[in-house]
Amino acid sequence: MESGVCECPVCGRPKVESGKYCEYHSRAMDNLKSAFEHWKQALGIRWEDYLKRVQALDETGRWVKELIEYLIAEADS
Amino acid sequence: MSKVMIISEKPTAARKIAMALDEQGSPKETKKEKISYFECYRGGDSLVVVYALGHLYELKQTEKGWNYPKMDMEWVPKYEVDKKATNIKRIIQLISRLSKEIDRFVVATDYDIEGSLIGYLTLKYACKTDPNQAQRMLFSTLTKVELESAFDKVSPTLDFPMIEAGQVRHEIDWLYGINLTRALTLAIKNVSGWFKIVSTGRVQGPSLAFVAERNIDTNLFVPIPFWIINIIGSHDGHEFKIEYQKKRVICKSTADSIVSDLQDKYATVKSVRESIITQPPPVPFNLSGLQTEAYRLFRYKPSKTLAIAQKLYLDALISYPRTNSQKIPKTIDLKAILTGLSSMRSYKGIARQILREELKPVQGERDDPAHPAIHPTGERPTRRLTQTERKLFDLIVKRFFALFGKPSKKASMRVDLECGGHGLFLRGLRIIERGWMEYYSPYAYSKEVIIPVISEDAELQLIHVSADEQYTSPPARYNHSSLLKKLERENLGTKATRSSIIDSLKSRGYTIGDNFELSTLGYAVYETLKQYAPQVLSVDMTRHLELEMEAIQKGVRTRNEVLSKARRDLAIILDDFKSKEEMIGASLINGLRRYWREKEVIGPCPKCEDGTLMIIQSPKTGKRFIGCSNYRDKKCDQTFPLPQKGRIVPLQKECPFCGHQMIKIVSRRTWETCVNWTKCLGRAEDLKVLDKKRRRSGVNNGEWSV
Ligand SMILES: [Zn+2]
Repeated sequence: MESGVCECPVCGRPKVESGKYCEYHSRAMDNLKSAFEHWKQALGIRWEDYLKRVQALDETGRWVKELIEYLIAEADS
Repeated sequence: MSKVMIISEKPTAARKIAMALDEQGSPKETKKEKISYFECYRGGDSLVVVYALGHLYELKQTEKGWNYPKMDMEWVPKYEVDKKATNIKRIIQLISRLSKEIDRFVVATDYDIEGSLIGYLTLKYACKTDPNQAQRMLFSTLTKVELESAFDKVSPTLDFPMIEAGQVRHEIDWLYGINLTRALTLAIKNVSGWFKIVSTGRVQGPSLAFVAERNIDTNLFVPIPFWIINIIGSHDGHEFKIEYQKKRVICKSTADSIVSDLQDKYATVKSVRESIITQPPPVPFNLSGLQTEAYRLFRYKPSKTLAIAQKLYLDALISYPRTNSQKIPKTIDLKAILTGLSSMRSYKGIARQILREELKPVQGERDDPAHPAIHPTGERPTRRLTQTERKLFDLIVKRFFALFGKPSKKASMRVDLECGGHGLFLRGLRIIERGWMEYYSPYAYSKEVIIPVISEDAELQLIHVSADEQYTSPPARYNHSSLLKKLERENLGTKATRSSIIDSLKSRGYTIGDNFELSTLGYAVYETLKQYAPQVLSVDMTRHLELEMEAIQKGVRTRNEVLSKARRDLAIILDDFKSKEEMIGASLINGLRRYWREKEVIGPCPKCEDGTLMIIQSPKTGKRFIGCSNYRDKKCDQTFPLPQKGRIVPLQKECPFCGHQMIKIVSRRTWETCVNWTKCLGRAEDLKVLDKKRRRSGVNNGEWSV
């Protein structure tokens, strides 16, 4: 199946209604945003640096890493 | 003189029973074509001891057709369902033949639900006798003393409520397993034409859900940093670890300022407190307790522990392992067991020491109506045990010893300190009396932390202070032991079935590795069921059934009532399923596609039932081709050649000329063809183009090969 407008740009699963990603990557985005509040408080870090650091950690979940890869690639293009 | 038939569950048990009951201790074994039976004499009676090989009968649907709903089933010899069960046929024939001259039947299978059912079905279908006239031997160990007493004081009837409960579980498992698996598989077939068996079941569904939910949490996890303050203090020339009042500091600048506040300073002792902790001995092992401990100490999977324990039981070294009980009842001759153990070199010392005192073992909470907690019988091994058997046996003996130990006593000390407005403390742990830990050695776990004697107002120098950056960890994935505990806590399955259900998640391709990582197929099945048939994943249905089974055993409900209710519930689920079949099929197909894409799978095999076509590299020539996944087991020889260049992408359509699956070859010239392209009449053009290219280059560079 070729990728279409109703597929998650990260993984190809169906998108959630009125969202950009599938259910899993939408939830990964929510978690990423709420964890950022803690990181800001802990380190005073910027969003872009935060993404790179989280991506490098072993503890980070697979779907979060996939999402970060997509976000970084999207920001570069 | 009357002729008695004793039906046991396994060959080893049959031999033990015959040896124990024969007055001369030398029963006659008649062996033919790998199966045997025993004849012995006792009290003027002639005894024939036969064995089943686990279940001899299985459920089979009564009407024809691979579809659903199928609500009617019957017990048939196992070889009718499982073609590999050839031994079963000979066993049934032997038992039928021998039972013609029998005056009295005695069931001596394991005393639990499955064992009782095996005995009942053997009587009814192989012996063709009335189970109401049969008697039952009840025992928990295969020692001579217990077997003789079980035979001499035989129970006059079978335990029918137990049999009914066992039967209803088989029936309901069959109903749910067969119908739901067909519903899933046919949803795929009716939507895409593919035949790929996708299974689920009454306990497997909820087990899959536990694993999936934990995987999802792990996959979505975002770690958060925190800092731990590490402090080494010095007093009277001794160095020791000091803890900071807060376990975690959540901001780096705060952590840094704590370090600079404390570095090289002196902390003052504010208070010194000591308390004594007494810890009673651990409770007797039930099966899951043994499995958990064997996993903690030896990393044995629960199924492995059960298999080893089963062997030790058949050797009469330990009591029946499939028990829920944590109790050692008064009827057990503790003195005899300990005396037996004291004749073994490694256990002599402790066994004798225990024998000198009053024998009062500690008891646990859980109980089992049929069997006591797992304990050694006191018999010596008559063969050389394997290393794994030795380890498990030793663990069981040591735990049994520990039950007679005194509580252990430990002194716990806490010293509170203050430095520059920061609270710090020191914690120490010292064992005062080892108590039961002495008997449970080397399996008792307790780490001593020795701290120096410090008085109030003393000053400690903080010689090293640092802030260590760490991250929060994701929830731990399940391992065999933790998943087993989860099933037990949720009251899912039984002590006899849990391990194999856990193993089935892996063997069906739903999980990968020992950490139960969900595969793409696992996600596809979980997601589909969650959206369209969430009851199948829920623990409620199964928990309800376990309660109904208990009610049957207590005589409060009948098997027919429970079975009719289960049929009605299942019919509702299946009706609902049918109405959503198209969506369910599409959802599974999407998941399967992702699964296959990852495994380089092209699609279902057109030749065999359950294989999938995948890209295989020939180990001889290095050339790639398409082969069936059943190729390795020599079950299917379907192959198709492949062009050697370009990336292969499976397409969701069939060839209009020959009906085979279409693929796309992505290279400089991207083109579509079917897997059957070298034989397909509609693909002659493709071959011509390739042939022309090959001739132009002048060499056969193996553009395609089989
Ligand atoms: Zn996605």
